Amino acid sequence: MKPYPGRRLALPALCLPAAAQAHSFGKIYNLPVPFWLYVYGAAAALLVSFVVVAYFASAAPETQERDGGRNIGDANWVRLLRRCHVLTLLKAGSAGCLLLCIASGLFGAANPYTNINMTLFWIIFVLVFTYLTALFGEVYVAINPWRLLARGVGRLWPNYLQGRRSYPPRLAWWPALLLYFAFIWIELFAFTRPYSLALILSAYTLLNLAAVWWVGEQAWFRHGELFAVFLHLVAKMAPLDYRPELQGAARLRLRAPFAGLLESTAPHGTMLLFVLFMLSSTAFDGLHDTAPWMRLFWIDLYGRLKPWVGDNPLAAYPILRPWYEAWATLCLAASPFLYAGVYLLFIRLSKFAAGSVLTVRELGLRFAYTLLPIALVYNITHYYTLVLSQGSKILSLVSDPLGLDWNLFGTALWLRAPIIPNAGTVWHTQVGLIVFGHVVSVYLAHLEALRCFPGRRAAALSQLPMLLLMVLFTTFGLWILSQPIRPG
Amino acid sequence: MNKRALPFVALAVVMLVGLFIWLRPPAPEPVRQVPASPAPAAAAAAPVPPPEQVYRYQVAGGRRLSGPESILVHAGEVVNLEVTSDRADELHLHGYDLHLQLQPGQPGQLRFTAVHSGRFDFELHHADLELGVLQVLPQ
Repeated sequence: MKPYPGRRLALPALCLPAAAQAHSFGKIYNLPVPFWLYVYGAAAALLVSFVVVAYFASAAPETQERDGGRNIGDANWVRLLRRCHVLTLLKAGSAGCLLLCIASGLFGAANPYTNINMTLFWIIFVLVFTYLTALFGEVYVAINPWRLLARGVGRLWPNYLQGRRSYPPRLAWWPALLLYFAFIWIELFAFTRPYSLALILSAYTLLNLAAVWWVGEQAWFRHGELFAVFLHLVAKMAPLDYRPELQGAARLRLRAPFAGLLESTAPHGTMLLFVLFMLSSTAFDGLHDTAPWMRLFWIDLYGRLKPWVGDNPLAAYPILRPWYEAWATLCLAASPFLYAGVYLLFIRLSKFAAGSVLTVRELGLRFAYTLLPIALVYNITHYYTLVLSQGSKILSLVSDPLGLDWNLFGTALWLRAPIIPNAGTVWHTQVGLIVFGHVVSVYLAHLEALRCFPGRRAAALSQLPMLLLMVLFTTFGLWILSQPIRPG
Repeated sequence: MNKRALPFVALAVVMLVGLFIWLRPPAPEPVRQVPASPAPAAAAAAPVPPPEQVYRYQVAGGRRLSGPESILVHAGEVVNLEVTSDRADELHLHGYDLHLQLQPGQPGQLRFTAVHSGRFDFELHHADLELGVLQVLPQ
């Protein structure tokens, strides 16, 4: 960690407990990636990108890889699952988990580490379930607890699920984007506790029920419910394509991993912003824990504000704290638009390089999903140690969900010490995953380019700016991982 | 995966491995004074005990008066935290999940071998004070 002048100034501010919280819940026991490994990751991403370009340039796969995958909805193991009523069990489990999160928050212990709802929601649902969705597809569409609740209401109240009016097309995916922003803000700044989490989840449940009443079930869960939109995007990367609305064997399809990203394109600019926010919010989460970020506000900006707030940092802290929060919120809100500006600039260069007649907007939408692998690996590298250290606690928590010293299933004492993988292992996995996600994105973007632009040459040329963009995103992700985390 | 892609995959793997070997820093940390014993785990009772430093903290009125905000050690070293608080409190080291009850005005010592690498906060529960952070580099 490099000492920097004036660091002394920031110390009183950083020592106050509220400022020292890294994440709303759970401690991340990561050390910054060493510099040489950061350089390795960036160089590896660049080198392998050119191998991908060379592969496509040497001889393009003429058979437009419209491999539709294989329908396996009638396979024996799928039938076996159906016979065991797995879906019904999952539905019950999902609705039960939501109710448990609310009930345990209202009636259980106030300590976030002994009440199950913090771990169940922040770790198991938000992180683990996302990674499972990337593997097993969009099971969430069938077991979404809020959708199940809405359907329950629909049984008692005819015409409830149809909605009062049709969904205004102008709204597009704005509701999901706004809710996603609110969600990330709560995750980073609200310091939820079991009780407040229960209140937030109750409010979100009411919001969903009201929205279904207003615009109807189909429209709301397509455009509004944030986890439905988020997991729908994540599921495009899964090798299993689950579509419960279809009949027979087509309900479940096996395809190449990540191939689903090329089966459709972003339907609207707000969806592009949603995808970019997946990238930028994780980057922001990483960035706002680092020393350079804290330095920006608490040293650089504070230095300029001194004439107004005074020389004593302890006295200035209470005045500056709300400003710091407003500033961080503003940066978070601006981040997807900043990313969109950079993204569209590179799309414009791409269009120019390929001499395409398609508009920048159209191309921007077509290439949007190819960024999702980078977003997924960002997320995994950032949180997987948290999944190990805090997620493993779920075993003991199920036996004592309210934190009242129960032992319902006899597992209350299991895995009490957190699992902390060796820092060297963590570094190598992080860099390896980031390079992997980068390569997948570059590869997919090239396939998409072959569809958008006439001829191999134009496609290859168009990909040089895109490649630079992805190297930028990847290097930025690596840089964040390599930064010293702010002191204490 | 088609056959034509294989040489490219092989090329990529060779490049990645070559780059890794080229960039990897030489030798694992010559800084350690401990001679490379065959079993560095359970080093507490090793024939040559690693140098042991005591990190002293003074806490009064819910604030840290003295002591480093960050401690940097290598895995396997013995860490000794000595905390003196003006009030009764509980010291908690995250990750290792070690707790120590502190009596007012009396120095309390938490001594342990840093087996896990990573970044661990330690705090005083009653004062709700993040006292410092322990960074353990891998061996």
